[in-house]
Order: sequence, then C-alpha cells, then structure tokens
Amino acid sequence: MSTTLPGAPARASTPAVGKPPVARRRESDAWKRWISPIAILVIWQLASTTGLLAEDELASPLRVVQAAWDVTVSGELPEGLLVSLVRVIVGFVLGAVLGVALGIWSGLSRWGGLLIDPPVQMLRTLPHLALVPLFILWFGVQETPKILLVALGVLFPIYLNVHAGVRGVDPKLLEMAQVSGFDRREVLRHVVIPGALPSALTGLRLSLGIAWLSLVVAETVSADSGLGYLIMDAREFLRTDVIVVGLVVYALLGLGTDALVRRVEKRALRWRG
Amino acid sequence: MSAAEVTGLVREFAGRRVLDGLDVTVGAGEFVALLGRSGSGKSTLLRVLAGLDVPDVGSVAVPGSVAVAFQEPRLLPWRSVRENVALGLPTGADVDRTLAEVGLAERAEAWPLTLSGGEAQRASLARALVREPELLLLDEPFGALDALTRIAMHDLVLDLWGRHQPGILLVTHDVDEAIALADRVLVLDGGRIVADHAPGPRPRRDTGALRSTVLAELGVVDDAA
Repeated sequence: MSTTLPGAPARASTPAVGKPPVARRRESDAWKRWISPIAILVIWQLASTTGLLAEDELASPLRVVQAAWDVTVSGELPEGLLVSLVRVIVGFVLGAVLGVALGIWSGLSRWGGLLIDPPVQMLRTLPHLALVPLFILWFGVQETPKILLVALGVLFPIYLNVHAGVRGVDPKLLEMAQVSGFDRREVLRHVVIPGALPSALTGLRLSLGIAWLSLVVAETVSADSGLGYLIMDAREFLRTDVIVVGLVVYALLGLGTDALVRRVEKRALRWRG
Repeated sequence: MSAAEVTGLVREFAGRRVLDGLDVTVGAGEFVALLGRSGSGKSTLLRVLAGLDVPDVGSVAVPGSVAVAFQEPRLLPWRSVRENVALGLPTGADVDRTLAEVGLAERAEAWPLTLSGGEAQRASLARALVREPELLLLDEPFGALDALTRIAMHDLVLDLWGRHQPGILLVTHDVDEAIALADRVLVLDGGRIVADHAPGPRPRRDTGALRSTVLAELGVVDDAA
C-alpha cells in the first residue's frame, strides 16, 4: 500500500510575516497564475467547437457545465454524492478510530508494540486496493466491501503516524511529568497525545487522500449508487460530459477535505507560534 | 529530619561504577552545591534522589516532597506557562503567586516557545517551587543561560531559597556559582565525595583561595592563584 499519492497535496508554504519585497511581488502575481489554466480551458472549448475533439471522446467545458446543472437539478448528483460521502465518512471513522487506538496502544505498551506492530508492518506493504476481488467474494457488492476498503486504506497511514508520534514523544518531558507527580491519565492527556499530534495529523492528511482513492476504486469496480455509479452509468451512454462532472466533484471533495485538515492543523498546533 | 540522606550509594552502568559507596547529607533548609567533572556521577546522584533511577546498593532517604529543575526547562510546549506550572498538582496550590514570585505574572498565558531562555528557566523554577518541596534538586539549571541572565537567576534562587527554605542540592560544574550560592560545596570524584567546603557567611569576598583549592580538587590548575 502506498502512503504517497500522486494527487497528494504538497505542503503549502506559509506566507512570510514581515512580507519582504519578493513576497509582495508574488502576491501581486497571484492572478497571473490563472492565465494558463484559463487558456487551457479556452483551447479545449475551441477544439470541441471546431470538431477537433469528438463529443464522445471528451465533451466541451460548456457541455460539462450544462451537464453539471442537469444532474444537479435531476437529483442524480446530490443523491450519488450523499451515498459516496456516507461511505467515505463511515469507512474513514472506522479506520481512523482503529488506527489511533492501535497506534497509541502499540506505542505505549511494550507488549502492545511486540504484538501489533509486526503484522501491521507486514500488511502495509500490500497494496490494499488489490484486495478488491477478495472483498467482493467475502462481502458481496453492497456497502460493506466499499466501507471496509476505505477503512483499511485509512488504517495504515493513521496507525503508522500515531505509533511513530507516540514513540517519538520526548523522554525528557516524560521524566518531567514523572517527577511533577502526573498520574497516568495526565501523562496521556498532557504529554503523549499532544506530543504525538503533529505526526498524527500528517497521517490524517495522507489517509484522507487514500480514503477518496479507495472509494473511487471501489465504486468504479462495482456499484449501483454513488458518484462512481453515476460515472460508470454515464460511460454506458457515452456521456463524457457527465463523466467529467463526476471527476470534478471527486477533485473538489479531495480539495475540501484537505482544506478542512489544514484548518484543524492550524488550530491544534497554534502553540508553535 | 534532613532533606536528603544518602548512605553507601552504589550505581553501576554496564559494569562501570559511577557511584561507589557515596555518602551525602543535605540538612533541612541547607543549600548544598555538588561539583564534579563530566561523568563524575553527579547527575546520576540527582536522578536517584529524584526517583528517576534506583541505586544498586545503599540507602536513600528523601522527604515526601521533592522537586526538580532540569538543565533544559522541559516545559510542555503545547500548554501555557500557567498550565505548565499547575499540571500534576493537587488542587489549591497558589500558582499565580508563585508565577509572580519568579517574575512571570505577565507571561502566565504565554506559549513556552515564545519565552526567552531566562523566562523559560524561571517557569521551570516556579513549577518546582509551587510544589513546596522540602528538597529542591537543581540540575545545572543555569548552564545554558548567558552570563547576565545567569547572575539574575542566582539572585532569584537565593531570594526564593530564603523565602521557602527548602533543602537544595545544586548540581553544577561552575565553581564560582557553587561558591557564590551554597552553604556547603561538595566535590564528587571517582564516585565519592572527596571534599566538603563551607565558604562562610554571605556576602562572600576573597574566595580566590577556596576557588583554587576546589579547582585543584577537580584536576584543574588555576593560573590566577
């Protein structure tokens, strides 16, 4: 299983506080970054209008916008979106809760580490998406295999990063807690968990990317509802415009969750100043 | 009851005897400085007294309330200064008064990463003092500070010691610091106390002779003498 995605967001560079001249110039340059994307859209539209790009290969941007409106009004898109969101959320929560619990347990306790870590480390080399055939055999084609595939994809990056975070907590702080009379609960709450948080949040961000990827694969292979179904159904009728709408929605969802994590990170790590 | 009573303490690491039948007493309210070269076992003694390490042989008697200020302030960066001082305490301790005593009342809500080195060390002192220890262990707490801040910290420690009267064991490798602050200056070498000096009444002047003696005991030839 891979922990880096081609679509994984690069760490955004934080804007400088004092704003030196270079940063100011970059800011005034911001709109210029839109030149080439818009140019690509225009060329795409022209290619479609002139017939260079066949409708059943790729619909024009304007047709895509029209299709987006149509499937929204007809209720197909909102319905599919809701189904997909539920799958991803349930799967994510399942995998994350398990990953955090196992990561803390194996990070803190010697036996926990000895028993849990080896099998997880072995399994993580397996690309979890390759389990789709087995999952279909075991769980059929309903919701279960899709949710479990998402959960499994989420589990590994969360577990690995929580485990590393817990193991990486500064032993000097643990000693300080000991001589300061912290009880076990206080050590966990004030030293271990906050200490492991930066690493855990990295795992969270990775895992959300993988959650969406897992969903796309699961829904593309077999589905009778959801975004993936919308796309596969559109393929049957050569509706490339609807397919592109589905792709754009997937991208927006990934973008949205990433922005969400970034806000959580900013709030949780505000002590870094 | 003395603030610490160590008899026949032996501690070995991988066959190397770091402490070899060490005897030390810190009287109630007494300020003792412990000097020693690197690797002389002074930090090991402090860790045993703090309960972070256990002796192989020997007996260690310390009061119920022991507090430590480490070389690095060891503040939790994700908790405010006040929380750092207050965490782990039973309720009812006067955290704000202690913060005021070390001159950090204004910085109570600050994040530790925004503190200067001196401020962070004062927060660490406050965290130790608020526990009203009968034995206060100071593990080279001024080592990483600049010279001016260090002088200010010396005055602060003497002031706090006068007010709270804990027994203090200050581990240091700074001879001048030890002579300036402590009632008794001990020299640790080869796992035992090899010298025990009383610098005399404060304020101290003309400590040059004692300084040379102690330096010689530490294996340093003092050209100024």
